[in-house]
Amino acid sequence: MKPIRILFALMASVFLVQGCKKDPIKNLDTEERRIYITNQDETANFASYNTFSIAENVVVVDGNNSQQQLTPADQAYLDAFRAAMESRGYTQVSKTASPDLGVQVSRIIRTSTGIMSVPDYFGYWDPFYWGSGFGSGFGGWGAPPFWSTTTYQVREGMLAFDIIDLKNATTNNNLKVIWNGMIRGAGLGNASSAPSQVSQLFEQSAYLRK
Amino acid sequence: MKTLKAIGALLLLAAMVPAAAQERTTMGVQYQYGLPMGGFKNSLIKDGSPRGASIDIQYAINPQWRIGGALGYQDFYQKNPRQTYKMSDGSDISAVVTNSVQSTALMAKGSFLPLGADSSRLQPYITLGVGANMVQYSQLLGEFGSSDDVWIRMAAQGGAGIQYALGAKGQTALTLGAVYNYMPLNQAGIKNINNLAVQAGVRFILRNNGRGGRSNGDVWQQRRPNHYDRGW
Repeated sequence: MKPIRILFALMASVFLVQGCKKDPIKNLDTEERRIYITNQDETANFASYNTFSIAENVVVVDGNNSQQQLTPADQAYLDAFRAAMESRGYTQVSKTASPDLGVQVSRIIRTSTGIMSVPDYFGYWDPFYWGSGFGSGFGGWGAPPFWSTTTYQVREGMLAFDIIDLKNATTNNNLKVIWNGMIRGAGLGNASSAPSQVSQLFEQSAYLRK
Repeated sequence: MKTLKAIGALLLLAAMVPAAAQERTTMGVQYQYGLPMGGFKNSLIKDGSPRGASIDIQYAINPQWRIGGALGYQDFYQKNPRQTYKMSDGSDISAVVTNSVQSTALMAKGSFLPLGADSSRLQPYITLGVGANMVQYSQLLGEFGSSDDVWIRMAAQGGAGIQYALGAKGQTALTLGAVYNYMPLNQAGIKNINNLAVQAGVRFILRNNGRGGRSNGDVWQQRRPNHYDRGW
């Protein structure tokens, strides 16, 4: 075999080896692709709240637009979150029964790709549901200042769960998001895995209990 | 692209070898299994890597010493079980964290064969190398990338092994050995990617049949093999 042929064969071998690089994403299953992020208002005393109410619909936020929806998967997430709150000692009441806490579930859709900074999301509350006297939407004066500049590359939407302090809203003169959980990654529309996904949010938030 | 340039440099090196010298020039191809060592193993990736290879071209300057160049590649990968991490901003993130490190090292390499021109088919060898190492590092949280970097650092290696010449002509030898790769990094909290590579492969004589080099027949007719003349 002539040397040049050997060299080409070896070069091909090197390319072959380089092609054998293990692709990290391809080696993740759907569950492993997801990340769960939780944050809290450090000043909140979660044991001081007794009751909560949860919005009947999921707010779908697409850019500056929002609308309410309730798909079977949405319902599964709402049910799972309700059950998790009750397992932590909180009692569900109707919205008209002056709940201490309000729970809003949102589906955040990003149509653009690129780098999204976590501070883009400060928690969300629906003014038409929880009352319009305290501002609304992203940020506002109720926004908790606990996000940093950590960035993640956004490939698809995310689910956000916000717990709003209604008990002290009048005293504080604002609606304050005191806890936020986000689920990002693959399989967000899967109703069957909704309980396990919500369970993970609570598992990493041991302080969230009556 | 840098890997392509390195391969090109090795090809150029091979092409520049005079035809008459090709009898003493050999090329080795090794499969290698990489084992992370020390801090690399303890802090980043502990799994061994079956995805590695190296090639080298060496010229026998005397019966005991060979000099040349080598290109090595190893892909390290580690997927960690889901875990919750406390971030500096107070948030908690639960994720399956994956670390991926690729090392592509281009080195000047020297080999020492203690038995020299001994005719034994079985020859032990010791190698030393020094050069540059291109390190590609990525870290994923779930499917989301948090780090994706490339650095070039110096690297050195030392190794030992044995080779066994095959056939009556002895133009090919099987090799078995190990090299310790000293690969400092000091980036992204990673001090080094030191590793031990266990290698198995073959070594060929680069011949130039009918173009001025010694003919196959000449070698064939030698009654007593001389490995130095054949590049070993």
